[in-house]
Amino acid sequence: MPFTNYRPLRHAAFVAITCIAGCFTTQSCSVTDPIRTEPYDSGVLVLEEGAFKKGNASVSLLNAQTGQVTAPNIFSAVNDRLLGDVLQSYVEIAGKGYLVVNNSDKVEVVESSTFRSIGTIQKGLSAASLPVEQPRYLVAAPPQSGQYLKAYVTCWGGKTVGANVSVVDLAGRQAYKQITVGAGPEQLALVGNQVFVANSGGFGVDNTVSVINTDTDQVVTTITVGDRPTSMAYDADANVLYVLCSGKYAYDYVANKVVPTTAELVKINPTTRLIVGRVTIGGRPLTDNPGNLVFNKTTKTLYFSFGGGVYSTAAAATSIPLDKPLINRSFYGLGVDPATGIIYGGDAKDFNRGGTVVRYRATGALLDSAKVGIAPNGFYFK
Amino acid sequence: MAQQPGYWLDTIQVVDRIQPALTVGLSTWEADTTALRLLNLRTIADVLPTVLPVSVRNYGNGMLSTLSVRGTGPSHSTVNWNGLSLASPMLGQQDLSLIPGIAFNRLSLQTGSYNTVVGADAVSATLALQTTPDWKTGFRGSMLGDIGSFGRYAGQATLGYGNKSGRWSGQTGGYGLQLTNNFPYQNLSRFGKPIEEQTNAGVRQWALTQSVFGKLGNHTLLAVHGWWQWADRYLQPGIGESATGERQQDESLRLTTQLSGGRGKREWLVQLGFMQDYLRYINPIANLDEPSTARQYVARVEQHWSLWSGQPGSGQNWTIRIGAESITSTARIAQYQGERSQARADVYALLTGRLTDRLTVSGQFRQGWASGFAPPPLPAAGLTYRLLHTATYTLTGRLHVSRTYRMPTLNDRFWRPGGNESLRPESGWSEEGGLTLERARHPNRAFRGQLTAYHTLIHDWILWLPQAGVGYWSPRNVQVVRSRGLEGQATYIVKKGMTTWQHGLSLAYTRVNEVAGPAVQDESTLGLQLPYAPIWVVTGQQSVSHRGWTVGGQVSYTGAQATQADHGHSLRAFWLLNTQLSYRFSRLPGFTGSLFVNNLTQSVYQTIENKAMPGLNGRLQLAYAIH
Repeated sequence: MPFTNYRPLRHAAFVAITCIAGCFTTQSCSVTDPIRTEPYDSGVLVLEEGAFKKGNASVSLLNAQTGQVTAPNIFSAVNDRLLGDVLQSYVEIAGKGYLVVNNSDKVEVVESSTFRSIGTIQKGLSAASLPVEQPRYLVAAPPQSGQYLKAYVTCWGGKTVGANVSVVDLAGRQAYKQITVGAGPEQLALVGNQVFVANSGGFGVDNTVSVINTDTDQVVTTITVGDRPTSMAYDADANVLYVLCSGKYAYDYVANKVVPTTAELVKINPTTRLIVGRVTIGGRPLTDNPGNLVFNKTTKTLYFSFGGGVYSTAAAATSIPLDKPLINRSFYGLGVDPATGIIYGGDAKDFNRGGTVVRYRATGALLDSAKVGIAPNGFYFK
Repeated sequence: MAQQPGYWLDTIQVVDRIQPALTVGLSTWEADTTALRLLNLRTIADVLPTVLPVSVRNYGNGMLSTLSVRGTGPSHSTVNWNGLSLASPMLGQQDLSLIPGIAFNRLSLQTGSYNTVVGADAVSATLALQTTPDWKTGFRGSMLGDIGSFGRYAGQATLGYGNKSGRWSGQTGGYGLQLTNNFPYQNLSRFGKPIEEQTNAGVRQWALTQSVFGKLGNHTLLAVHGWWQWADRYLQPGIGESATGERQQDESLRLTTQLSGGRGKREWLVQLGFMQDYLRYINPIANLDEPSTARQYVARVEQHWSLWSGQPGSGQNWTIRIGAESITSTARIAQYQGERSQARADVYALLTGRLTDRLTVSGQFRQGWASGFAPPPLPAAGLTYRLLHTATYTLTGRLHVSRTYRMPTLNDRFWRPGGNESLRPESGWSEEGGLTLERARHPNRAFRGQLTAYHTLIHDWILWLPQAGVGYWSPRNVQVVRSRGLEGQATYIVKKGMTTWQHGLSLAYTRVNEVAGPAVQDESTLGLQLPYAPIWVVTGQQSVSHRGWTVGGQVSYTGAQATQADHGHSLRAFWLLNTQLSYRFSRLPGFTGSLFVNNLTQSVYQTIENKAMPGLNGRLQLAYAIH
C-alpha cells in the first residue's frame, strides 16, 4: 500500500493502525509499507499557488528520483484546514518550513519534516504584531550563536503600509519592524551580514536593489540596476550576485500596446556592492520579459524563462543569445535540483485545473511529468 | 369606455415576450403570488434558487450573482425586462443581486433555446421581468420596511394611479437597502478554524421605478418604463483572502417606450429602448480605479396578423409576427483605448398555427447582422399536441428544435490586452421534448406539472486562456459543449374553506461536459461535468394561508459541483431551508407583519469556491397597503 497521506492526519493514523492490525491478522503486509513518522523530510516540494482569490493554494511532495507525486496537498492533509490564497514561496530554516501566502497576508510556519502547523505570522494574532502585507519571499538573518532569531520578508504593502521588508522575530512569530525599500520588493539574497532586495516596482517600475545590514536592520545602500529586478541567485564560489532585471512590462497597460524593452543580467560584487558586469539579454530590445532566474551551483549555469521557452546560459557568459531555447515549452514556475541538475518546470495551464510538473535533464531532454495542484509556481528541494 | 375582448390589444400581450403563441414546444414557469411576495425587499438572487430548478452562483452574500441554467454559463441565459435584454454588452451577463423585486410585477422563466424570439444569448433560458398596468381608478400604494440580521435595513414605497376615464395609469416605486453584511463564518484557512465576522462586504442599494400606461385614441396603447438602479458594494473577500478593500459601484438607467395598436386581425408594435450601465471597480492594493460606461440603444418594430381566425368551419387559426430590431452598443473603459461599439440588426418571422384542436405548430426564423462577426441563421420549429383530454385533466406533449447562438461580448473582442476581434459566435442546436399535465379549471383546485428532456450542443464555446509567450490571456473559440438533462416542475393549489395550500416542486438533472472537437485543450477532462454545474438541483415550496395568517417554506437541494475543470476539488452538496410567517392585521386594516427566517438548518454552503455564505438569518418586515 503506497502511503499517500492526503487525508487529515488522524485518518492517516487510523489507516496506519488498520494496516498494522492487518499485518498481524492476514500476514499480507509487505516490507514496503513503512510507518513514517516524518513523512516529508525528503523530496521536492511543489508550491501550488492556487487560483487567485479562490483560497486554494496547496503544496505537493514529489519523489526526486521518480518525479511522481508521493503526497498531494500535504498542508491541508496534515492540518485539516486550507492553506490560503496564493502561495508565493517557501523556505526552511532550522527544521521549520515557512510558507509565504501572498494574498492572505501571512506566513504559515510548519515543522518541515511533518508539515504540522506550529504557528502563523499574521497581523492580529498577537497584539504587537505588524502586518506582513502582500508578502512575497522570506530569508533568514545569519544565526547568532547557532540560533536563527530573525528573518526578512519582502512585502508589497498597499493597504496600510507601503512597500517594505518586514523583520520577523522567528521565536515570537511576529513582524516587529518594517524597513522601507523600493516598490514591489521581490526576491532576497543573504550574503554575509547583508540582505540584497530586488525592488521590482510591483505594478510599476523600479530599478534598484536595496542592501540591508542584518546587524542594524537599516538600508545601507541602494544600487541602481536594470529595470524591474525580479529574481536573484548568489554564487558563493565566485562571490557574485546575479540579478535578473526583467525589463519594463513588454505589454504597456497604459498605452495598451507592446513596447520593446531591455532586459539585463546584472552582476554585483556583494562585498563592494558594485556592479561588476551587465549583459543585455538577447543583445537587443525584447517583446517579452524574461523571469524565473534559477541557478545550478555545480555547473554554474543560469536558467530563466522567456517567451515560450526556457533558456540557459553559463553564469560567466558575456552574452546571452536567445536564438534557441533549451526547452521549448513555457512554464509558470522553474526550478533546478541542486543534487541532480534536473530541471523542473511548472505548467499552470489555465488555472482552472491542476497543473503539471515536467522534468528535463540538464541537456533539455524530457524526463517525465506529473499532475499536481493548481498553478505550480516554484519548487523547494529538500 | 368599455373594453371589449379582442378590440383593445391586451397590454400584457404587448409587453410579453413569453406568450403561448411564441413558446410553442417550450416550457414556461410563471411566478405565483407567493414567489412574488418573497421578492418584496429582496433581489432575484435571494429568491430564485429556492423556487426554480436553476443554480445561482453567488460570489458572496449580496455580491455578484449569476444565473446558470442547464449547466451553461451566465452568458447563455438572458434577463429580459419589458422587452430589453439587461445584460451588459461588455460582460454579456447580468448580476441578479442588482434586480430588486420592485422593478417588475411579473416574473417568468422560459427554459430552452429562445433565440428566435428574443435574439442572441437566449441559449438555455430567458428570465422575463415585466411591469403590467392596473387600470383601476384612483390612488393605491404600499410601504414596506424591514430590519434583519447582519445590519440589514430595507424599505420600499410604491404608488399607483389610474385616472377616471380609465385611459391613463401609472406606477412609481422607490427602494433602498443597507446591509453591513458582517455575518459569522468559519475561517477554514486559519489555525483552529475560528468563527469570524465577515468583513469588507457592506452593500448599499437604491432603485427608482416609473411606469406610465396610456390609451391613446381607440386603438393605440402607450407604455413607458423607467428604472434607475444604484449600488455600492465592498466586495466580499474569499475565505483566507485578506480583506483588500475592493469595491464596486454600479449605476444603471433603463428607459423604454412601447407604442402598440391595431384593430382586429392586424396589430403593430414600435419599441424604443435606452440602457446605460456604469460600473466602477476600485482595488486600492493594485491602485486600480476603473470606471466604465456602456450604453445600448434598442429599436424594434413588429407587425402581427391573425389569419383565418374565427372563421366558422375552418378550425384553423394562424398568426404571423414579422419584426425587425436593431441594438447598438457602445462602451468606454481604459482597456478599450477609447470607445468601442457594436451594431446589430435582426429580422424575424414567427408563424404559429393551430391546425386542429389538438395540434399547434410553430415555425420561426431569425437572421441577424452584426458588425464584427456573423450571426448564424436561426430557424426553430415547435409543436404541442394534446394527447389526452378528460373532464379533469389535459395532457399535452411538446417538441421543439432550434438553432441557438451566443455572441462574443465587447470585452471578448476589444479588451486590451487579449481581446480577439476574430472570435466567432458560439452556435449550436438545441432539441427538447416534454409533457404538460394540467388540471381543468376548478374553483378550489389547480394542478400543473411539466417534464422536459433536452439536448443541446454548443460549438465554438469561448474561453479566456493564457497565451504562451505574451504574458496575457485571450479568448478563443475552443470547446464543444454538450448539455443534456431533465427538468420537472409541478404546482398544486387547493382551497378548503378559509384555507389555501400551495405546493410546488421542481427539479433539474443536468449533464454538461466538453466533448471531442477540433480545439480540445485537455483530453483528460472531456466528458467531465463542467465546473459549477451541479448535477442535481431540487426545490420544494409549501405555503398555507388561513384567514390573515400565512406560513410558508422553501427547501432546496443543490448537488456537489466541481470548482475546476479536472474535478480536483468540489463544493459539497447542500440543503437550504427558508421559512416565513406573516399576519394581516384585522384590527389595523392594510397592515401586514412578516417574519422571515432563512437558512433555518444552519447549512454551511458555498456556490463559488471559498466565498462564505451566511448561516441562520432573519428579518422582520412591516407592510402597509392602501388599495
